[in-house]
Amino acid sequence: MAVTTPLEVPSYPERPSFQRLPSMRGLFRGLFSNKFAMIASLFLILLAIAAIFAPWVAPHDPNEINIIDRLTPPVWQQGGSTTYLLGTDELGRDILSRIIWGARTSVSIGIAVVAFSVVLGTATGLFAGYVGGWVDTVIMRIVDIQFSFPSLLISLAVVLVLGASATSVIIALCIDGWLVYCRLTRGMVMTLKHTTYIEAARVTGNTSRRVMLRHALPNILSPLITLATLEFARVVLAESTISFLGLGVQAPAVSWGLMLNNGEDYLTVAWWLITFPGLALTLTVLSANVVASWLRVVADPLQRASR
Amino acid sequence: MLRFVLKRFGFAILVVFCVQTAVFLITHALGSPARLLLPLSATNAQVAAFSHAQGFDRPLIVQYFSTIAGAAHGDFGTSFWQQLPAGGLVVERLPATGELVFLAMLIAIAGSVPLGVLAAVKRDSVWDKVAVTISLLGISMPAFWLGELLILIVAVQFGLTPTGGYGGPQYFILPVITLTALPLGRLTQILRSAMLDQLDQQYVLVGRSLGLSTRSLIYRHALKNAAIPIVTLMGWELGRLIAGFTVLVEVVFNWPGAGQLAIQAIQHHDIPLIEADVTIVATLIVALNFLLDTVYAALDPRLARAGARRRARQKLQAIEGTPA
Repeated sequence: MAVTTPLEVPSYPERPSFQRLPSMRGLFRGLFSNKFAMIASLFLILLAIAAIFAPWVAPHDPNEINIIDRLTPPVWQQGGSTTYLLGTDELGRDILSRIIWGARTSVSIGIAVVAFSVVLGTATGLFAGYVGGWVDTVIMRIVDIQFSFPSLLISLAVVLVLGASATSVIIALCIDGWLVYCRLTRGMVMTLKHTTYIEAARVTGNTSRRVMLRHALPNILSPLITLATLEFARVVLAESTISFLGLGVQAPAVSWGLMLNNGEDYLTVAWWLITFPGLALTLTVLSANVVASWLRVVADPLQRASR
Repeated sequence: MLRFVLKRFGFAILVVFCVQTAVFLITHALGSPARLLLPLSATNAQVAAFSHAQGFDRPLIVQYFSTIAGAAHGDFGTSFWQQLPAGGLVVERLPATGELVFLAMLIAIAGSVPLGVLAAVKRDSVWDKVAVTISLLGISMPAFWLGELLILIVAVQFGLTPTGGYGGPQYFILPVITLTALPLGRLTQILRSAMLDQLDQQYVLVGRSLGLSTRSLIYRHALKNAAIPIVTLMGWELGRLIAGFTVLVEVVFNWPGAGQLAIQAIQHHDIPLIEADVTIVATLIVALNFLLDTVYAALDPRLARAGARRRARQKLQAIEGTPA
């Protein structure tokens, strides 16, 4: 196969994927012109409020058991009551309150995993991209290999061995969470390294650390934020998955995945047990996806023109 | 070319080896296997006796080499739960998983190609909105919830299909739909972006001015150019399906596949079975990726050169927006 074709690879628009963060005003103006993105961000804000103020927002204690009121349907259905707006589960616990407390679990695990992964991934990515050589080869080889792992099964094994709890879920999800940030940062630093301003910063006597943190990092922040939003959706989904399989968050803690797991046994008699927590989960993931794709377009004026 | 194939082969072997090492470290070094296997009430003396009988008290390195050596011969030890060779139990379950994944992938490809192309060609039309909605929903709906909803509506309310289990064609309908949603969504989204990129290219304008029909421009030129990153992605999507989403679908629909077995093994704390399942699944995915890499390199020899491959990955990143 020594014969090479004279044709080059079809040329894609060679646009840099890193851009400066748009100004706050531009950000809001863009938000108002995009209805979907606005609704999605409003939902995420609502979710954050529910998570932070769960004890005050929730109408009931999420673990308060009322056997007499068990399997009450939602308020608009016959037999429903205004005490339990979205109905109750098999032990008479209020679904709405459990969803609100579940938001707290999902959001806190999501933020913890994303925060740890961003720091570790960006640091290793910056280091690998900036230093290059064998350090780069070793780090990227580790990333490449771990990318090929069946990550769900590995996470489940970790949770099994550490014992089912929120902390184990966070650890299990951090193990492969940092890979994407590392790959993204490294790729962008490789391109940045040869730009004039980085060379100028180096020539004028800045230390490597200063060049990396003060000059390279701010310029790759915008795609990193987009990726973190996307990853938040993935982590929330992964947490629910592990809890759904019964290996994650355990009662008395509340999780949407756990609610879906319990509700499965009452599928034939109570549709509301699985419908509402699943809806909350789907809307969260959907909103994070919509906001991420909007952020991507906003941060990249070239893309904004074409889409 | 040969160099490229050998390199990829070496990498594939390395990945399988690393997966095995990781699982071994998780089950043996992170926790105590005897504690995991025995009931909580077991006394320390009982744990020690059991450890000794099973060889868990040997130095880690010795246990590690005996595990690796066994696995290299296809011997993963005996399942504690089933009292049968663990490797055989996993292999027995593979066909059921294979059927599900094959059907789902086939439908996802057959659906996403026309949908993605149509959405890109008729940008901002109704079709475009349909495609974007389908892809967003497919990506955002958790597989287990979609499965539960389908059971609730189709099987329980209307009684059209069984709620779960394995058997004739009617048993396939719901699990296949559930498993199709995610790859259908992702592939449609990426195909649409890739086609949009291609249709913006100058050669399309040139072709149009030379009098080529829109049809031939779309199908013979733009789609072909968009295909390479897409085909690579289909391989990854397939791997992801096998590694993750099938597990959930199999659990929800009580489907007797390798994914359900993995969860059963984890629930029974059956270490040899966990090791066998993860290793065999990982080997399958790696073998699949190796085969695809080789086929592409044969189809497009430029890909065998490292620089071209890196450029291809960057293109994919630019299209998808996230690192592939």
